[in-house]
Amino acid sequence: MTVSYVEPESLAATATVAGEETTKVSGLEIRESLLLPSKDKEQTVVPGLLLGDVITAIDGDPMYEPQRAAVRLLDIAKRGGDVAVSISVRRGLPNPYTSHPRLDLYVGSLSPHKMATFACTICHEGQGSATDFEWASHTPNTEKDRGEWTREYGWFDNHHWIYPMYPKRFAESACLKCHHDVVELQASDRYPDAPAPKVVRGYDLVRKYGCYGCHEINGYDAGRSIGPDLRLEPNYFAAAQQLQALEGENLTSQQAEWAAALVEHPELNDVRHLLYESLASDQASETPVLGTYTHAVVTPLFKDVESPGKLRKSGPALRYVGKKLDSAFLYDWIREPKHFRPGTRMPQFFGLHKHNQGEEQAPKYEPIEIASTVAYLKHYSQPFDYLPAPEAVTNVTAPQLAEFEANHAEQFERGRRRFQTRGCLACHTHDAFPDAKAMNSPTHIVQGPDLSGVGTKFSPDRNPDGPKWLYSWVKEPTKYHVRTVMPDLFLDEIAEKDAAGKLTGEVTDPAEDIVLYLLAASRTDWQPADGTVVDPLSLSDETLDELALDYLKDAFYEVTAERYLAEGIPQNLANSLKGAERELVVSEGSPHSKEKKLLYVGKKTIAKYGCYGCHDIPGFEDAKPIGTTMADWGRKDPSKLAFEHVTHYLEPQHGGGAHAAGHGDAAGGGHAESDDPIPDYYMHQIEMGHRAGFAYQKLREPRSYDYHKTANKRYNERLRMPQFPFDVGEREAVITFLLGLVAEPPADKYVYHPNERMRAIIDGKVVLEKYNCGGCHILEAERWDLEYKPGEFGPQLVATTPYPFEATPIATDELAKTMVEDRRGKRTGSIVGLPTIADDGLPLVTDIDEVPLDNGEEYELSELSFPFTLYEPTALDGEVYEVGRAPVLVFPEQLKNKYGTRGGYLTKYLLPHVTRYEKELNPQAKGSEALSWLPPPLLGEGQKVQPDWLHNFLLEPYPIRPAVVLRMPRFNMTADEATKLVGYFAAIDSANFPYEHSLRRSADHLAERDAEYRAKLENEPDAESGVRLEHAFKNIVINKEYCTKCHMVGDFVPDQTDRAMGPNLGMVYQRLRPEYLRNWIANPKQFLPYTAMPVNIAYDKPLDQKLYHGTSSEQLDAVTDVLMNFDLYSKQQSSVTAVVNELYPKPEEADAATVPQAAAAPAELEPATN
Amino acid sequence: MARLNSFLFLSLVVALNSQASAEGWGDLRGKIVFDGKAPARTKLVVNKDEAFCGPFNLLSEDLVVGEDGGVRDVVVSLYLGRGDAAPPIHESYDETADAEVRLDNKNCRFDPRICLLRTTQTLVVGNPDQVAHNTNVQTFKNPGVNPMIPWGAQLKMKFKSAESFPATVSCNIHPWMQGRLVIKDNPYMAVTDEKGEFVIKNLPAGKHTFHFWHQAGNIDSVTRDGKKEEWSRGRVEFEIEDGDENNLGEIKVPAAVLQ
Repeated sequence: MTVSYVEPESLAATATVAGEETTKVSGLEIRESLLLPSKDKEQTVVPGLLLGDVITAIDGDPMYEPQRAAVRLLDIAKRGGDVAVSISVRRGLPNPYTSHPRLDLYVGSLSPHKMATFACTICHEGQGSATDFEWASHTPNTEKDRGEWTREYGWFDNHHWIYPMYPKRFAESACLKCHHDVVELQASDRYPDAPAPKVVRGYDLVRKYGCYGCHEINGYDAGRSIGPDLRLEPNYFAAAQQLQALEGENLTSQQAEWAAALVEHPELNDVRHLLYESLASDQASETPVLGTYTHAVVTPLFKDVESPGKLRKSGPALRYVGKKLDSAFLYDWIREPKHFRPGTRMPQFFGLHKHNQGEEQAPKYEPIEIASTVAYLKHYSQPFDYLPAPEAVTNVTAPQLAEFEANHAEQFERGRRRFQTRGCLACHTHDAFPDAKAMNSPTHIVQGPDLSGVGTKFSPDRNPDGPKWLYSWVKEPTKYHVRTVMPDLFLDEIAEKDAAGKLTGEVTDPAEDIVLYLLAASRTDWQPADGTVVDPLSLSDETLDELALDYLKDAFYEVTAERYLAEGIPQNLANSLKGAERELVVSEGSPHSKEKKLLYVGKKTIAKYGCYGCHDIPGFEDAKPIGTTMADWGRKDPSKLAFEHVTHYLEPQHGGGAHAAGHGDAAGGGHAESDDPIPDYYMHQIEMGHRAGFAYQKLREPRSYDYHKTANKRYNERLRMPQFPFDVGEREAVITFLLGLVAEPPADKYVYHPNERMRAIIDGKVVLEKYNCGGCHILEAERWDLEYKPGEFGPQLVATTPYPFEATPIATDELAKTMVEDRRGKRTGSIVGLPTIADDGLPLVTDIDEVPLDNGEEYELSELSFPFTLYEPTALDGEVYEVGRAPVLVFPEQLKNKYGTRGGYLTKYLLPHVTRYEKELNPQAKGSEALSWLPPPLLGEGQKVQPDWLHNFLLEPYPIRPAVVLRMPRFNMTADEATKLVGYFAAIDSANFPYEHSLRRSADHLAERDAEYRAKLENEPDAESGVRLEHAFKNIVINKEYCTKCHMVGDFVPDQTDRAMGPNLGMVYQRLRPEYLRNWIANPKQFLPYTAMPVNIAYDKPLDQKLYHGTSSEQLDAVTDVLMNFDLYSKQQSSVTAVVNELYPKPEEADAATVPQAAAAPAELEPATN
Repeated sequence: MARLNSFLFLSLVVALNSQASAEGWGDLRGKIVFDGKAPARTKLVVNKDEAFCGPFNLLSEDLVVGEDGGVRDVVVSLYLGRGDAAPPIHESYDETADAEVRLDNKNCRFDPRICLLRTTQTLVVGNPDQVAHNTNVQTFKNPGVNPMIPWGAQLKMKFKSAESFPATVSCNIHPWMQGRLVIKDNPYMAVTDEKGEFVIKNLPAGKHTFHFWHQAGNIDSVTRDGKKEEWSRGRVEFEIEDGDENNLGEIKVPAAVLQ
């Protein structure tokens, strides 16, 4: 029976969806779950019967005849009573009658890809002119589809049409043709359901795993954007470091200064140009001071690069690695990174020869390759001075660390809390904090490495300098790795205070606490694997010589190669050598040795595997990526892909490929095992010679394309791509991204050209992600989509009369939209904010009677209600809902969709923890205010702060709120990146940017208001000019009953605990936008619902007229004006003339020293010049 | 082929709403007693305006147990669920229906610590102390308020909606200060005194659910007449009979519930 009419608001229209089993969960779990990331949205079933639904069963009985169904339903209706009827329906139509998905994005007339403009093949590919299914070059999404299509429609794989349609699984690839920045394809305010999550994930994976280190993806062709651009930044900083290392004192002081500046700020083009010119002129001179090698290799690196890449290397710098790691660890790590850290992103390079049955060469040569790499890294590791560390760190021993928790319980706990709360967990995971790990969505790629085993890595028994290195790193990361994205956390010494806020005299070092905690609490039973080579000189000479000779033969005739191997390369040839062969040069002072051969093979090995693509390695400053470029890989002719014998390999009868269960001998780690079988879809793609299949197997078993090929290849000619630890979904995401790299954008009118605002948002997002700002800060609040019956929310209650300017202007048609009812008689709307936080720091969830849940009791979803704190004003139920009033109470049946926050993982994780810690000091502390001790949600930041201030703050952050438990760290970002962030915040909040004229700092405005005020002072007709600001400042701002009760002002610090202390009011004129400041003072909760700041000047309750004569609005304006002019006002209070006159008295005054000097006249307020 | 099979329920529900219909009005009395030895009250850390607040030698009021074991500050109120009809109000409450209820910041603590307020009444927040306080009332059905109250000032405020649980009142300037504000749209609520005793006068006779709450949480486990009772979520039903004989007697509450 097909439904042909549904009475609005009838039971049929309002029927609910059956299905989910009702389970009871404890109150605590329910509350905790609200902070966790939302699960990926499942396809939601629209409740209520819909036109066209086909009733297939009633109460489980199949219905084949319409009449029977009708009779059954009529019977039920006639019986009446309190019964629930279950009706099963079939909904939706088979293709081609079904509609296109996401009409908000595609096809729809209001979508950005209108049918009339974009049509089909621009996104889908295929043969647009075809009129038959089989000729349109559809591509089946699954093997099942392929079978059905072949049988039913005569579909076939048409190799002659080179651009077949993207199958559904790769449909998002097409987005990259026009969306070259990629980040705009993430979920956004306009499109809360991410437009293209899979291709964005692929992009994230390529970025975070550093694929671009070997495979350059150049998004530009002759200056024109042709696709996503993922390329390494120019190596200016490394060139400068190498220059320092090679030439040291040979450099002039000016050259040394420029080089040092470039190490820290390689973006300083003017400095680089000066250095390059200076080096070039030395090179051109008849008697160059600097070496030939320096000029040959390093000097050219300072030249300009046309359209430079922007990405830093994805791995840590190895320039000083000898000062960080011991040989055994390095050997084991290079051999199999997962052996030490199972979750590492570093791919597997060695032991990948499962495809080669009876492999002999790899087991023989690989230990040499690894050991020689270690030897090279250690030998060329450059001098590095650790930061001075406390004795407790430098002298700590492994046995002490084993007992540290027991013997130093207080410091251990302090270290644990500091590690937990000072920001480390925003970017790192640690097994001791599993709930922090859970704050990230499963697809989120954690910025930094897992630190669960770091105590083993730097254990002093194996690595005596380990603790010192860790201390130095934690305290000042850029000292070791100048391009790291790890920020300086300002782990400065802390003068401890007691619960009363009084100094105890104890001074602690958070870096010391964290380092000792990590060393003591992050110990695993890891040991270097058997066979780890600690002394490379113990390796077989014969094998080393074989490898070295193989390489030498690339550079020299065989006879010469053999001679050089045996005797070394004569000194007189040294200047003609640029490559690794320089390692073999012998001279009087440096005879030929096994060590030389090791360094030679080490350098060759690093070059072979392209380690420098991800790591900064001395001697590889000028090295180029080793992989094929990928900018147009999505269009690469499949005939140019070297499938070789891979199909044979994958077929079970040939070599027992991993398509079947298991193949070859188990060896080494990191192989695609039998639990990672190749999906049928990709197997077929390989068999048919398609790109997707090639890429899948390349990611799964990269060297398997050497199957039955190695017999005709030298060892060093074999494939060398490492195996990345990707699962099936990750591989598919990467392939989706790769297939979209077509380097062939359509006509310009189709390419996405963001407007100025979107441009700023896109650029800002790239920087936000680079530095993981969202690790700490909530960048976008939660959004809950609601559906409700009219009047369920009603008008919002108001406590006191608000200032007129507090009301959010919402157009009447916007309000009217929220009153439109759908077929079920329901209204819809969205609210933006955060779950209300209770006093224990966890979200407040109430039961159906609006009583808070008991943590220990169990509840069903249907008996809950969710208080939600608004962070954005909204129209709801025909009314305006302002921020800072009562939470909106949402019942489960009203909640249609829920979108989690963007960012803020650490903040949300820490809410209950810092509340608990604070309650130890003050049992009355409230978790509902804990957000003010944590990184602030950056909602409305653009409207809040002045662009200039934000720019400077990002580059040189300083403490603002004394109440915070962690400081904003300093990232080594460029001024350009800071500008992009400022632009982002301004754009997202539609704030003025880059300049905002401040009327409040205009002299005319101040004079006018001052005159008005003086006119009011009936009892003080002779009041001097400037009295308005003076009254506001002296009677309100520094009145101990008002602002200075909690706030610092200038050098004044109130007697208050850190948690209750407010920011310095002497700085707000630089930081806040003027109107924000006024509105904030008027009603702080309207901006930050969690703030503890009270309303000082209520609209209907002005302050005592003795303090300031005027209405509440006038008082508010005066306080705002004096704060916005604090600098000018303070200048009035001190006269430079008086100081000068005192220092240099005029002769007549000096003579008449006994005559009192006239007080200096206050300086006139001048208009602001900035 | 996109085919979506959905299973939909049609629910026909008849709401049954039975209202207690006995005749008369009754008082509910009882005494909350700490079961065991009560911990000593700790001294509060006074870290602001010490010169003024220090001499009061303030003690923690998180759990105040009298000499005979009576527990102060337990809130007992008539429990109304979502959609429950408002109870009839006895005429004896008429004269206080629009009264002013005082909540003072006095001697650097909230006085009273637990303040009971009806939505028809006006709350007067005062500050007789010689230091400024702010009074941060964290309500959930009403908009929260957080006014600055200088020495000698007072502020009147109304709360239009009943709150389903006691709102926290705090002063951020003096972080040790905390109290509660109970806001109901009926007068049937009480807070235990120093002896742990409470009385709710003139309840309509009949069966009612009551909610027992202490700052530490719902009172969900008690002993009465030597018998253990589990009051799930702090709620319990009693039959109120006409007159003043509705005495629950001693209600012993284990330490774990109150700490």
